[in-house]
Amino acid sequence: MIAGNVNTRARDIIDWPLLIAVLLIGLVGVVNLYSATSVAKGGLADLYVTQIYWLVAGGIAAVVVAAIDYRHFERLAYVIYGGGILLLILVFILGRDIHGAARWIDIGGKQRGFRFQPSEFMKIILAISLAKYLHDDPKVPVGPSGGGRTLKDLIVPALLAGIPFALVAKQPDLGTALILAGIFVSVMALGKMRWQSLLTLTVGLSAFSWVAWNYILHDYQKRRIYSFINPELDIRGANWHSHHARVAIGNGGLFGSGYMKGTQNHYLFLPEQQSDFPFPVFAEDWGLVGALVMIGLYSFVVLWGIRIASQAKDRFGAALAIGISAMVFWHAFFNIGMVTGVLPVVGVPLPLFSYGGSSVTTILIGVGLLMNVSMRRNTFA
Amino acid sequence: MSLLGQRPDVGEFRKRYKWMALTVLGLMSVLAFKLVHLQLLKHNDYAAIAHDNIVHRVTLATSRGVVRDRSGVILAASRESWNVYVVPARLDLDKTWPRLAEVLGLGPVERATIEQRLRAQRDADLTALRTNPKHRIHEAIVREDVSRDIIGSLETRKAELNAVNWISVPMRYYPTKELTFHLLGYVNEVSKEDLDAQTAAQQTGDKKEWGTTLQAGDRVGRSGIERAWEAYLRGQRGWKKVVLDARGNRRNGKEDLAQLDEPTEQSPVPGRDVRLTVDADLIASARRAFAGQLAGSVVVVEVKTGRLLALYSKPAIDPNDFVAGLTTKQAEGILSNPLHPLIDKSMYEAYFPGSTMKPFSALAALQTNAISQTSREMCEHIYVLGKTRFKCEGFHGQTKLHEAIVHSCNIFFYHLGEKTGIDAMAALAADFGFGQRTGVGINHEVPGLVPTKAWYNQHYGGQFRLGFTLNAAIGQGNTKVTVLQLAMAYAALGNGGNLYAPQIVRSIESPATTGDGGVEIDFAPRLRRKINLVPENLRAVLDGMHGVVNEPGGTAYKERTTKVDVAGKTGTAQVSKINNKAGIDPRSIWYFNRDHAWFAGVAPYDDPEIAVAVLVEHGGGGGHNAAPIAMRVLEDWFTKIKPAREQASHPKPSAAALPASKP
Repeated sequence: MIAGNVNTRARDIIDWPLLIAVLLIGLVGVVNLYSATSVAKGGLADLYVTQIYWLVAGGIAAVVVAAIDYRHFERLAYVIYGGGILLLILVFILGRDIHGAARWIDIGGKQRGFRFQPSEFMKIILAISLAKYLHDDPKVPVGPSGGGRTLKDLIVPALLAGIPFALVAKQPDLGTALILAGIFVSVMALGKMRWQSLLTLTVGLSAFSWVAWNYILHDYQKRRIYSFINPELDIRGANWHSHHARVAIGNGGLFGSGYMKGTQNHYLFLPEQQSDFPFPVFAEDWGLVGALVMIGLYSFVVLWGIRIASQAKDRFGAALAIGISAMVFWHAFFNIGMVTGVLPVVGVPLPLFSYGGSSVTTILIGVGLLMNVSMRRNTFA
Repeated sequence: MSLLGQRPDVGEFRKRYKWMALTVLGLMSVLAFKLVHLQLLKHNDYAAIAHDNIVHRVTLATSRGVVRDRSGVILAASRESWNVYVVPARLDLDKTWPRLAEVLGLGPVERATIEQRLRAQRDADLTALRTNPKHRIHEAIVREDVSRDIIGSLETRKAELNAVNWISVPMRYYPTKELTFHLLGYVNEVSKEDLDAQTAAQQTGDKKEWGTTLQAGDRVGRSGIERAWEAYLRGQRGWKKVVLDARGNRRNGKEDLAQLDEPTEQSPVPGRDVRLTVDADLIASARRAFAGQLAGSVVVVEVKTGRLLALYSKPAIDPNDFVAGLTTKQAEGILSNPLHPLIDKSMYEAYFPGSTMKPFSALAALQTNAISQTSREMCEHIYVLGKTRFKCEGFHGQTKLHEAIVHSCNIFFYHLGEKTGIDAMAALAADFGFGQRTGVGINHEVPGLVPTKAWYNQHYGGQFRLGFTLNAAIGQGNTKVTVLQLAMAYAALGNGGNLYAPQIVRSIESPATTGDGGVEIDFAPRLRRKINLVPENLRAVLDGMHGVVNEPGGTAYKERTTKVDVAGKTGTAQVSKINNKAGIDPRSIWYFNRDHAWFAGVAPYDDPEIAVAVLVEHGGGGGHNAAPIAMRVLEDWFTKIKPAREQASHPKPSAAALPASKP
């Protein structure tokens, strides 16, 4: 049954543009990671090798995911969702503390085993679940005045997103929570809303922001927002990272300092250069030309994902493709926006550029799902 | 949940794709524009910041010049000293600190004080680190100028002394200690006021004060040669660019050094060495000669050049104490000392010259033909002027100039003064440099005073009286001179009337750290004026001065030396009597009411080479107290020091090389 639906030759149905763009990003990512971590002595220096392992592992996962007809995911959506939530709860019980936030689960012991971040996978699971919801709730606009969904119709999907959002934010992992929110908004934007409901929602969200600022956000998160509003206020404190990221990028100029020649990375002014700040390393090495090429590549993947959605066979496929594209887009936008100073400092990895097993696998599984939708656009009717 | 019939539902989404694509393009364009802004428009700014992030300037220390005496004896130099630091935030106060305190030999009180300070800084650093991981922790100084032995112990126990560092810093030292205190002065650490003044001077564009820029921790000359010749001695700090990474570590690789932009280094300019005209042995001789006296000064000068051979002022302080920083107790002791050790008594204090002024009064009388060498005056011990009775020390009868000088007859000089007039005497005294600063160029110098009729009219409400003239003739009243002025004036007597400016620095030399330092600037003697004198008049006065020492009954006859032929004049200057004065023990009032003792002279008489002036504060009679000191110094110079110097500069030649010297 798995192979049964793929009744055309692989070469014809594989989405080559998507595949090539993703491979390019991954390749450049590894090359850049080598430059980024070449300055570090000891463990970090071999990260690019590990990253290759993860890319291969993620690639295999993507192939597997792409091979399974996505309607099986549709059927099992809520089961998967339940599993994801369970893992997030487990984080609180078994979680390992990294930088003051419990995000990880160790498997097989701290030394020899590996650890993974359930919140990463939750991004994909949320995309699947929301797609499932839209799929099962084909609300067609009624009446000449437009009609559409009311706030009441949003309760279920809001809960679907809200539960993992709350769990992740509680870890605390503001970055992932924001991505979850981004996926939710992007996927739900597919459906038509009543304008009155939209208005109410806007007012409600504003009120919520006020509450969040005063009662929910941690001090360090608030400081980051402050320093975003006035970047030069506290260069040595909260804004130290983004300040040096901007210096590195600006230092790159039009054509860059040359591969592995960026001074700010070389002299350790870019902290977390492998996870949150690989882009400044790249922009310093390759300059504006390189940076724009990367922006172009990410834009292409996202736009191609929207194209895949538009050609999808069913509502689930379309919504899923949008969810995955949104995931890639918000990651790229938040990360590059953060390092260039367009957005406050939020720890969000740059897809396939940042080092990290969970992140790489998540993105590649997402790409597998996109491929899945793309390959099956003409296969059943 | 049927597979069929889904297709039309996808239509609900259809209109959204375009908007989504536009949103993606829009937001990505924001990023692209921001990148253009950073990398194209602001590239130069950020490249500059990036450069400044890694390229730093470190200071290259310079070395302060060495001060030597005329024959090369080191009077001021720099020695190695060690300061011990700890990093309080990393210091184990329970284990490492007691060990360190033990090695340094800290007393319990000192140890507790320092520990409290370290603990406070450690807590502050650790608190700051908690909120700001990039907070830079600082070192704290534990002890300055630690001995080499202690540093040795620290080296051997290095492994168990975590977070303890020691660095070498140059420290000024004065091997001759208090001997050359007033002459050399001292250095100490630059104060906040100095740095503020420097900042102000830089803002007004006035850079002449210090020459090169001072930084906190620098030491500057505070008095004497160290202050006056600061610009030459200090040298100029250099700098070097280095590459530092974000953690503050030096990077010295080939690629790292390629980051440095030209110029990468400015070498420090070492301070110039200063060679003085004085002879340390002669100053030491003056100190030995002064052993029995509490306070006073000796100045010895070369008659034919004006070069100073000795400048000595007693009491003095060991300048090394100032370099290390005075303790409160030391400072209080110095300030409360009634003998004023900080004052350079050779030039910062003016005294009544007493009879040492008589040769100049005599010269003035001879030059103006007020008297002749053969004129006589009657000395009956008392000279009555109105209601005032002016006294003489003796009863000299009919006296000529020569005897008047030899016996220091006041009555003769009263008549002489009356005939000559105060302004004629003042004019000649001014010719010899009295009443004006000598221009020695170090320390504070007072001009003294040679009163004139106009001066008295101004200061005594137009009430000039003859009595003022009489007092002026014997160096009392309002006449005041410094020891240095007197020495220079006697030198002019000895060389036929050439008044020189006192010269203290002979030459500026390049540092002798590598081989022999070369002379960069050689200072020639500076003649202030040639005084127009009738040679016979001068001869007559010098004759009298010779008699003072060599004729029986001469005021210094009993103290004469057989080894040097000296011509000079004693002086016993009355002081303003005090009954009670704040800060002076009543039991020592008698001392402060005693006369000042003077002797000034030239030697050898035939062809004077050096002039000497000695003042013993509250020493009593000049003949008994000051003359022996002068004789002792002159004896040492002519019998020991001068021959030794000549031997050194002209090493004993081999017989073959100098056949002419054979008998």
